[in-house]
Amino acid sequence: MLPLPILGQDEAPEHGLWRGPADLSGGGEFEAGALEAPSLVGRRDFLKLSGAVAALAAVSGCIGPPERSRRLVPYVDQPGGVVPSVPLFFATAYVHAGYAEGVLAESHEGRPMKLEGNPQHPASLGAASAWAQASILDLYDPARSCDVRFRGKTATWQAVLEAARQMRAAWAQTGGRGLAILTGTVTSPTLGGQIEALLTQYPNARLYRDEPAAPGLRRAALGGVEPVYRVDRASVVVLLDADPLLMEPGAVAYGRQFASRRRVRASSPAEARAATMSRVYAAEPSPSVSGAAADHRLAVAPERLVALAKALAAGVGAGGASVTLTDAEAAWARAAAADLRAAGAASLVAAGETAPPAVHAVLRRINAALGAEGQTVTYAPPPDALPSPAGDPGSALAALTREMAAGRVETLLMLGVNPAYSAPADVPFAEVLARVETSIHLGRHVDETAWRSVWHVPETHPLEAWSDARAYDSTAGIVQPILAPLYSAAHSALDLVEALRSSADTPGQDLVRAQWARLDDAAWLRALSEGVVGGALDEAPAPGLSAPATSAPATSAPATSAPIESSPTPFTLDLRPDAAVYDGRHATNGWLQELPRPLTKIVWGNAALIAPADALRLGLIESLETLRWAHQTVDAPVLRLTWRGQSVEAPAFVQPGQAPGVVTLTLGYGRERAGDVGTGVGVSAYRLRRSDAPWGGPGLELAVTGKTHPVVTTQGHQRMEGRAPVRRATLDRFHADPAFPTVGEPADLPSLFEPYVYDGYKWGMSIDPTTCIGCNACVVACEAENNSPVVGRDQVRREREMHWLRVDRYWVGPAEAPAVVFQPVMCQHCEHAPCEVVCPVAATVHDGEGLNVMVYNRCIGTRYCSNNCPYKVRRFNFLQYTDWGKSPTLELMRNPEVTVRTRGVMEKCTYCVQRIARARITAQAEGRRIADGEVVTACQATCPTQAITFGDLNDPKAGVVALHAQPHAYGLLAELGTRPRTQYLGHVSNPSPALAGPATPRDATPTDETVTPA
Amino acid sequence: MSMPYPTPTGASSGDEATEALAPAERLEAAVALAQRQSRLAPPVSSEATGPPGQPPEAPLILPGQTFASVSESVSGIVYDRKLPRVLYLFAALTFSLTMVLLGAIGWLFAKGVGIWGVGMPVAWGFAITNFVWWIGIGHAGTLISAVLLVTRQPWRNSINRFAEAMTLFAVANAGLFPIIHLGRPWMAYYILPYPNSMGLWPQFRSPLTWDVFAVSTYALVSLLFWYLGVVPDFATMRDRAPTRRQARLYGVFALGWRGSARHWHRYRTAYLLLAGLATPLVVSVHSIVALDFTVAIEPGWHSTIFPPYFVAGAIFSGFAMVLTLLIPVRALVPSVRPFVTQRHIDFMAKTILATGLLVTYGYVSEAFMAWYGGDPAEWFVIKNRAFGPYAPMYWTLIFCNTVVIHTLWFRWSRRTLWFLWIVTVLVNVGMWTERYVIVVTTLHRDFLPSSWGMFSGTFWDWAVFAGTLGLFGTLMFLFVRFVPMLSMSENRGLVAEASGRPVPPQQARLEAAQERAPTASPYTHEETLS
Repeated sequence: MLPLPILGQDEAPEHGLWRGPADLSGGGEFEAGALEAPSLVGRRDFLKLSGAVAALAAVSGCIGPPERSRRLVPYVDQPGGVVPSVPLFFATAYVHAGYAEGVLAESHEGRPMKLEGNPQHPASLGAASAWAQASILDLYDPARSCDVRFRGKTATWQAVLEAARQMRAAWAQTGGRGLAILTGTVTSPTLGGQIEALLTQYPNARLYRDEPAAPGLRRAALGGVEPVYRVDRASVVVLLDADPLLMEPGAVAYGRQFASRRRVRASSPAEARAATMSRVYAAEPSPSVSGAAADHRLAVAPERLVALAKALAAGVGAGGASVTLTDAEAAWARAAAADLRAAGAASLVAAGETAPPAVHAVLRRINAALGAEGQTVTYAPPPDALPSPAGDPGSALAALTREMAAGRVETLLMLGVNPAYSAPADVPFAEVLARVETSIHLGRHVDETAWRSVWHVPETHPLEAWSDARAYDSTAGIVQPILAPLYSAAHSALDLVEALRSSADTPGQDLVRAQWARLDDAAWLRALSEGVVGGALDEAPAPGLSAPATSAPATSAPATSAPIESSPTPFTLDLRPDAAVYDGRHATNGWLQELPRPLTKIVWGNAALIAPADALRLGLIESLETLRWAHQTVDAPVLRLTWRGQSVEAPAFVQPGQAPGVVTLTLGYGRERAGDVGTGVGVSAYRLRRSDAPWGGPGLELAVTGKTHPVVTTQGHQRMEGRAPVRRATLDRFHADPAFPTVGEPADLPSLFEPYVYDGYKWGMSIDPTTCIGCNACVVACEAENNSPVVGRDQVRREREMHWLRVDRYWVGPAEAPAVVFQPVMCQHCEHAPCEVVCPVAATVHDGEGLNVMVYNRCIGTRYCSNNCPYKVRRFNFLQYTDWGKSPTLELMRNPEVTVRTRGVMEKCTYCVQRIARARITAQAEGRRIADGEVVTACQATCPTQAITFGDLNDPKAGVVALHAQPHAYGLLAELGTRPRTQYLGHVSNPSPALAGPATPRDATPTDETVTPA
Repeated sequence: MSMPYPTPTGASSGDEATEALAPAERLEAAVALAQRQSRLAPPVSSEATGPPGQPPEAPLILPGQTFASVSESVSGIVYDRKLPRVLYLFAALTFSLTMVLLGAIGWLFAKGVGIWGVGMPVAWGFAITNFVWWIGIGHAGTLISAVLLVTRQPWRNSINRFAEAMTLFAVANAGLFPIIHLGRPWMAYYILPYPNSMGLWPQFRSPLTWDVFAVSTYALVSLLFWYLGVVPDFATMRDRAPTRRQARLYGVFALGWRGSARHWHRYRTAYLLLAGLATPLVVSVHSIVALDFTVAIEPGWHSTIFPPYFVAGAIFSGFAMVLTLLIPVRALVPSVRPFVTQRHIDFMAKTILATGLLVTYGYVSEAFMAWYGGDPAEWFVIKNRAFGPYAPMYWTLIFCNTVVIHTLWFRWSRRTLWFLWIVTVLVNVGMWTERYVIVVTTLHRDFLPSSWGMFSGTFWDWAVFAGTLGLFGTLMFLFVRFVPMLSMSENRGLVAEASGRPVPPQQARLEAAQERAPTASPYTHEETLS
């Protein structure tokens, strides 16, 4: 018997010790295998063990643990490999919309509480997206579904198995007639194999794929392949409505690659003169993260993109077509084409899923003509494990709905999808769902679809169940569980499909192992421990795709794309996935709801983004000047958007850089059943969507309703007002004068005080706004690491968000075509911290390593420190934001190394002092100093572009020392004498000398002028 | 102090000449004795007749008053129980508002300061505004009492008690805010230097720590000063009490005062000493409150003009508040009128004008220095005050504090009480607005534009503010109702002056007593404490 730290079964209730969900539900023991003695303490065994340990850690069932059981019981016999308080890291993968992003799950005594990027995984490279960072909250989400439901009543997994048995019997007769399977993107070889096997077993069954935010228009236009980029090889990048830095499955990797070509250093004048940057052109209807990173961003309506693409093609000699362009478009296209020609194979032209389908073929021609294909872009079969649906990619759900309406679907299996919410307006899926005799929904929430389904099976979180998944470049990785399912009723898609396929009830682990049978045990263990299946061992790309279409793609756009030249109304509807809640699947996640959208800084909702010129014309704003000022306090006028007979009302939000005539609305809002967090937040753009035009099109009618609705943002002011917190220069100026940010400033301000002496460590940070793309991953990582509470829409409206780290976003230049700069700001750990002097109770003090530390239990909440903080990075618990005792699962989520703050207490960035402490303990135990790179702050670890560097300023070899010594390093507001520990590098951009005008940043304010020579 | 009050027939030793008389008569006799034996030369004040070469001013006390009528009038306010009905209505209103205050604070403690409108960046809102405003109002009393006593301005005598009481109540209100605005008010004692197991002291570099000492010292000295001044009057109240219960109650507060010469001697010494102590406090308290802002790095706060300009503003608002209260009380309680004359009001109006001009100078200087100093953030704050989203508040304060006061150049304005009352109310509004503008406009747009925000008070902000107004009114009402609202002893001195023999009675009694008992040491003579 494994020496588990529990009492015997019969003793447990009397002692109030409660072992796990099994006790509460009255059935079963631990998860299979949990109690078996390991023959060798390998990873798998340990995982089982840690799962069991987690189950012990007062995991909540739906009813929560009894109060008496809240005791801390030490291990009687400590499980091997577990040292209390020392976290373990397990390689697994976060799966977003089907695509894997390798992560390392940090597990504290069996509780995963933080995900870090997996350096060995190609889609992560050690960094992680905001979505991956936020997924830990999905695991502990109190709103998670925890019971099987049958016709609205609680049922059991046993009942599911019984129903499956009957279905199998029936399907054996009919060959699965009437069975339809609806999935999202599936890249899991195991699940794909299972479903294929199911389809083989029941040949009359039908498979449908519906991925609302990635319907596959690009793939269809390219003839079944997807581009995979190598941004680091591209000296010139042209993006046509593409957002590879945020919205592509490979975004994290692309971010790293992008930054590697944008980073400039000037350790010596020679290095400064030799500094190079890639040049990025972007044309898009609404500002995106990638567009904001571009040197020349052109705001164009979607229907102009084809003309631009053709102009580029003509410019690089990839087929001539005469198009008419406006002056700005022509200049942009000329400059871009010239740069592309010059760069040749070291160039990249990309378009995103939301771009008009006709663009992709043209771009592929351009890439081929430039010789970039195979260099910066590879067109490869997508990693899908299931065959792509035939025909129009948007029509699968419509076809299924027609079948359902015709009564030809008796059993509908929906794996992790929510079509009752996300179906386009012309697809009455939710209505016809009721006509399906047996609808089975697998999902983590009782969402809109679960509510209407006959069966609902709670789905496990990826950290709770075995699976596998492929990354954007088809690299496979094993998804291994870190803990047993929090809710015993929860099962993975593998379990459910297996139940429908056979009575064997094979555990998911065995299914995955069987899928990877070609790996021997050593290779399997290595795949588990590294998170990736080695390339040679992972030969099969995707079972469903037999012949990748490498021939030239169909040039004709799908018949569905609307004609572009003539539009009856001046407005074009532009739908796109949301940067935080994506297609709505993250609407239940409070961290993501409260995550300021990169460009708009809107939280808790969406809005109809409208160009400044249009807003002026419609009378929504009085002048462009109002755009400088607080969106936060303004109740936005509500617009009625009518498009092809459907209409919704949405608040208008004037977006600088929005293409005139284009109204952008993001998907993912207006959820009806998304728990307390997501229900009723925002407006559902699906109600405007058409299955034949998933991203909208011309013909939008706008009406001002006269109503108002507050749009909540976290940044009230949009301009730098001549203060230059971000100091900008062109690459040319950087070559000549790398010290441009500190021109005319004294090197060191005098002080009356003796300087602090640091004998030991002296921590410091450096941030490079040049490579910061504003993706917000750091913000979520900080929240996850530091137990930051979610405060909710109303509190954010009252300017009380609790993010220790914020990403400031400033518009520079005219509102129609501004440049965008991002600047992550957290506590600067000032050497002469203004907050320290004014605290009457010494609750914020300077420590011996230069940190400005908060003593929470000393803080009485005068808030004077915050008032006196020129950076306004302190956050105050105005109310009891952390919900103590209300949701046991959230308590499990908290980082045990970070104090949970109570109301009335000030808090702020600590430079992740707990990570410093952990490294210090290790180093002291080994009798050495902490090495450079040993302390990695949460924000730094997750940053895809490595814009954040942290280290010991007393270590001459530390990277941060070199960065602080850069001539273009400066302290934010250093003129106040605060001597910030965090230094920023000057923002460098690489505009084309051929282009002046809108792309050259200019601001009304003199300071911006001076730091940005035209 | 075995005997809290003398019975009419009970004889205690000492001062036997007056002992058999009724209290009022005793005093009159004492003063008469003093007048007889006075060696004091010229009158201390010639205000009653005005300086030579100038037309005679209105008197500080209306003619026809005697020692007895002074006591009668003032103690009658308490004993007659015939305050006008409107005062009771006023009391009902203010008492209700006090309940609102209790409710608002209860909800505040239950939920946290998040029920207010504060956020980031404007982490201080109404609470600090109210704190500074109330502290400012609390300046008038001590200024009138202590500074005017030390500078021998006898016109203070009829209004000092009232003003001091107002000070106390204003400071009590002010003292509420630093505690209730805390995130964790139950930990407020951390700010005190008390011995604790961690050996941890407050952080003495913080102006908030200085505030604790400044405000508590001020409150303590003001209380002592007020109480000391009222002790002889409590004795009068005791002596004139119609019922034994009242006599016993007032007797407790009178601390066994029997008006002996030795009492007067020590009283005068202590009173003068306390006045000497209180005088610098008038300057220090508000200077230190101003340092809360000056020490900060924030634009619009970091300014050395703040201490003097805050003190001027404090006196300005304090005098305005005295008049705001005194004018209606004077109108409603006829027995006050002989003692609070047109002349007092005139003096106070002039003080308001003078301090208002100082405050105006402060505004001008602040704006000028912001421009002249060349700091863009500083200059932005000034521009933002005048033309930003809080511009209405700013122009309200400019109107109230720098424009309206110029009407006080005219005698008509100073004498037309309804008009003057409106002016003083406007000054109070203007000063509250000024504090609001200082606190909010600096914080809402300071250094980094990304962090700029807005502030507006919530229902609970207003409830607490209105509640403190209610508490203030309630306390003032209770004061008028139960405490002699004018100083009887000092007004009797004014009667003596008005009668052409300007001899301060206490001084006279002292002289008399010393003559009669030249060998008695004031330090061993225990008779009055028997």
